[in-house]
Amino acid sequence: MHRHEKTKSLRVTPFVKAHRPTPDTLLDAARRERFSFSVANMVQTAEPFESQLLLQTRNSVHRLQAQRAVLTAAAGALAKRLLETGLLTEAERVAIEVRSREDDAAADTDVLPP
Amino acid sequence: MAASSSSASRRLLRSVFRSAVRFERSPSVRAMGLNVNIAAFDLDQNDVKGDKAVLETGRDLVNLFKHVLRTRPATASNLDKALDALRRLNIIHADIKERHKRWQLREESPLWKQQVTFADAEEKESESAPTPAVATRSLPLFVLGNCFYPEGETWLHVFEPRYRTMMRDVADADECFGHIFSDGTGRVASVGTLCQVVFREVLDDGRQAIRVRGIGRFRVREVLKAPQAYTVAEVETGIADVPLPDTLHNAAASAQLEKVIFLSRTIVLLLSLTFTRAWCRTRGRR
Repeated sequence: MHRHEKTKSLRVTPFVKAHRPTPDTLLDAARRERFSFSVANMVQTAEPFESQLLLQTRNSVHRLQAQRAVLTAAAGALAKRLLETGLLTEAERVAIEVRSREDDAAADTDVLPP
Repeated sequence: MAASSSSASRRLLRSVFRSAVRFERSPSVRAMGLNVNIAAFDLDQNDVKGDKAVLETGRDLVNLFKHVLRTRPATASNLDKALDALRRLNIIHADIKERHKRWQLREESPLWKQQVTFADAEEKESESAPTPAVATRSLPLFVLGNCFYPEGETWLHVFEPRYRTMMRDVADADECFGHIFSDGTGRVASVGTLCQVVFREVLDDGRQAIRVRGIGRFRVREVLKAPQAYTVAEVETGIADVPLPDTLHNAAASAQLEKVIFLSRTIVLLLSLTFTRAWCRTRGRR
């Protein structure tokens, strides 16, 4: 149980929720920058040098592309591992992907067991 | 002697593989903040072809991985070299190609081709743009080997005497300081995160538990020769991203945003499901 407890902090942070794109703010550059940093804080990405590159770049597209690559690899690796261990079925994986695309303003799906 | 040598060679190889796993983990497992055992590399003794050769190659591999781990951005070509060395030893794990693909995926981002800039280096900012700094100020620096970004909160455990002093000075001023990366050679990065203390608990022995919030970025103009034991720098605050030049780029950035949101939520949903089931299993529930 101890290992599970360590992951309790892993959830969509209030900062990510606050800066998520909405139809009205989709092209707001300042919001986009804040959003990309809040995502970076949430996923605690990679090596220190890579983290510093995310911080120092002033190109939001580059930062988002890098985050997308990291998250793509993470989601793929995690799904593969869960499928291998039987914790997840292929049908459930597809359902999760569909659910992820839905706009859920509450974003409360990261609630862990009580 | 032979047994010792064989044992040493195996230890070396294991350390190489640990490096490889750690190296490989960074885009996936570490990104999730989890410790998931992706693969356990069990070395077959048949793989060890002559202790001396293995020892030499093992050292080469260790040095190679150390080099790769120390030099950023990591590139697929660096990993190629490591893989070539592994191929020569005939000890490639079955899924190494897949891991290589993941690195190639990372290579798609131009960000990883850039170099970290340091404060003492000559300014070479390829993304320089007419974004005026909002203000210039002197700022105490909390120098660490990792990064923290704006738009987040984190805990800091302040135990070094110089930083205890710094945090007391910060409390007497405006509660702001700079969180900045150092590569361990004494250099500090050119860009750091401006932090504000939002909560402070001073323990009986003088250590401090501090909750900080990232409120922006700053660029180091000059590291000052201050009398304090901690580092102080003249910095420019209000560093912002370069405005995108046209609507096409704006559209591209927006698409990336959506993709990131989607991927973030996929991971969260997957993890939520995993933990729920793991939790149920530990309690014998379904």
